[in-house]
Amino acid sequence: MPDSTPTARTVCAHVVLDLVAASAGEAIEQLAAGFAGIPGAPAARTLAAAVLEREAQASTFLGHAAALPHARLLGVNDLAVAFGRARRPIPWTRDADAVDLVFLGVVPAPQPRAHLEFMRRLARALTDAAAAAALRAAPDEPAVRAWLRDHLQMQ
Amino acid sequence: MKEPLRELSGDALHEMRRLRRVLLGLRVWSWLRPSDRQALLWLAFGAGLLGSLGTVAFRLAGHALQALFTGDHGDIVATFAALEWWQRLLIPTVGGVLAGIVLLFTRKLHGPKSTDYMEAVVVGDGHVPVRPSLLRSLSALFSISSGEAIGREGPLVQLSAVAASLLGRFRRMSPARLRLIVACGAAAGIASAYNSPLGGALFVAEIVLGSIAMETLGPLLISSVVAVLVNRTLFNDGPLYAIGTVAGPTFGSMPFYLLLGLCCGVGAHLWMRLLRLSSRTFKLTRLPLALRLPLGGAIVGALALWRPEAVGNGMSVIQHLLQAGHYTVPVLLTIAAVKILATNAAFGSGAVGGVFTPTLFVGAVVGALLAAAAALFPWLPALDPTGFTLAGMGGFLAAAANAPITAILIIFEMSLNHHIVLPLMVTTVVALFTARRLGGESIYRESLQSGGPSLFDGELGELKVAQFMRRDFLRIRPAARFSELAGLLLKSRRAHVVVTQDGSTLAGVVQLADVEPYLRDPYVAETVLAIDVAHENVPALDAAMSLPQALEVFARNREDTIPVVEGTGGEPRLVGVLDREDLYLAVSEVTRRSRARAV
Repeated sequence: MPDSTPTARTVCAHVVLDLVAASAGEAIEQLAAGFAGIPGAPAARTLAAAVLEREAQASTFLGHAAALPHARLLGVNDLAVAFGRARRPIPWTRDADAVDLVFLGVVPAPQPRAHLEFMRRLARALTDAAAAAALRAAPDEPAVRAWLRDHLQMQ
Repeated sequence: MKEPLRELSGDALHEMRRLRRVLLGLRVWSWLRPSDRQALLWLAFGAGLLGSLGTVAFRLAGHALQALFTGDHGDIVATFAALEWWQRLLIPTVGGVLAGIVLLFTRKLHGPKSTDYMEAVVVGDGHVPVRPSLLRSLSALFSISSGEAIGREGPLVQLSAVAASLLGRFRRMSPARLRLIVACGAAAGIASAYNSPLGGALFVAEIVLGSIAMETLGPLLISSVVAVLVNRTLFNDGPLYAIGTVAGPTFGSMPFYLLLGLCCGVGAHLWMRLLRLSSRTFKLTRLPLALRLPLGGAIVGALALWRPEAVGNGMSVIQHLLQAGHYTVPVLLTIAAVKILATNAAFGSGAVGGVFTPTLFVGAVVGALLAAAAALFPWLPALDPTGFTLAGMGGFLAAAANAPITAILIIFEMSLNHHIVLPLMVTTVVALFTARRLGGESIYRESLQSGGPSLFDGELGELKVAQFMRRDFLRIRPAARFSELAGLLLKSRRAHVVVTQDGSTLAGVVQLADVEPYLRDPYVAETVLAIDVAHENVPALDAAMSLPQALEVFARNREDTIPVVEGTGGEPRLVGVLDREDLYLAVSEVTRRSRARAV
């Protein structure tokens, strides 16, 4: 049986405070460009394609005006996340659900638990209205990173 | 953050609480949920229960039919002793006619099959044929209840194996597991027949499966225990043979037990040759089966005119030998001669039944004879007749069936006397080694080799993964919600779900171990998909791979269950899964059989 304990760290790859996108696809392409420094991460275009492929299977809309688009990759060791905050909501699903918080994740494929753990933390943080409001009101990148560290234990 | 639900609106809150309750329920179930191997024990329990009920039905039917034939359903020897001379002659003959008719009918429907000793049920790949087994048991029922000198335990074992096989087929098990469950049924049959749980499990392990590894012995023990409990509850059975006292073992008696072992080894060899000879002799008469069986019955009946001990399987005679213990050499020789003739007449004629109790009987007489003969020489120490009778039974059985552990345990459980264990071990081991020196054939060899060739008779390199895989496994769409996945895993006692695209393309495998801690999490339940938590680069076996190739794949990987695909043309199609344990069971059985063939 493969080892199932989550050994992956969760790292913040990139933060975009004013994400401007007309569609999920555009948002994903922009955020995918932020993974250049992550060891094992593929080129932005390849990554975006993989994320869009997953998005096509089922929307990663989480509710609370947030989405967690992601791709699962074999070569990476850490769960890396690029965060984008949009001033104008981005239409995300076919049912016209819109989001203003996008977390683009690159998940190490052999560690499904890392993904589940991140998902649990994220959903809890967003369900907490005060915490969600704090993220939306964060004035600058250090403030956002501090929020991500406090609520999602991202490094 | 402790209670994030309070922020939700009424409907969503309600929905989330409902989901939480469902998931909490599932989690409780996941604590109680048995593992795959434990689930096998539950099935063994079921096999033991069904199997023993089958034997109960057969026993009751036997009693009723015997009462119909003889007017009494008690001990068959005593019943016959009370009959008029013409009745003693007529009843076994009529029984033979009926048994022959049923057997003819069976052959017409299912083709000829040599009469085998039914205690050693042919497990094969676990598909015990239902109708022929029932018909042959019916034929045995006529023979046994009309006094034929044949073991009644064979059909008991056959019937309980059939019941277990049906249970396993209903559950759609892999061949390796089905085989094990049928073996559990057989063990239940032996255990019920002799009121001997350890003996039943070991008989099947040693003789039928040829392995006393814990993986197989564990389920066998469980089903034997259940079977014995059922019988004790319904019939209030004690040990099979009530015995007087057995003298404690001493150094002085050991040389005689050793000598008894030698006699048993040689005697068992001769006994097997005699049984084969009488079978050949009856065939030489070229009589049709419908006449051969009544002829066998008539011979038994004629012998019963002289001594009623001729009828039955010999159990009650053994009981007398064990209790009375003052038979003289001439009396013992007379009883032995009558009984051996009667048994050979019954077997030779082709009556369906077992050889177990008749074999025990001959061993008992050998032991009793040795003790009685020693009493003729006053300068020899006095030998305990009961101890020698029991040790003779064990030694003879060990030598004839090539099953020493079974022999020791079953004799101990039949008598429940601990003094017998030491001398029994000496006699049994010496008898076994003596029999091996003389060729070491098992009385059950032919019956174990009869029956159609099973899957497990193939050459290892030619057997394919497709023949041993499991076709029932859990599958789920990649886009299925986590809640659906969780429900599927928890309800089914399985540790894996195969993720399939379009129903048959392998997309990955979800391991229960990965997702178990999150099963109660309502956030994860609706936002994560099956494909998000699946291992996508899993190994796959090709259905056309040979078993050694499959072993290689398992050796290179840590998975305990690997999907099997059929790769015709472009897209490989998912057709089943193979469990590591099933593969090991199959490989060990196949190699064991090919070794046995080579000997």
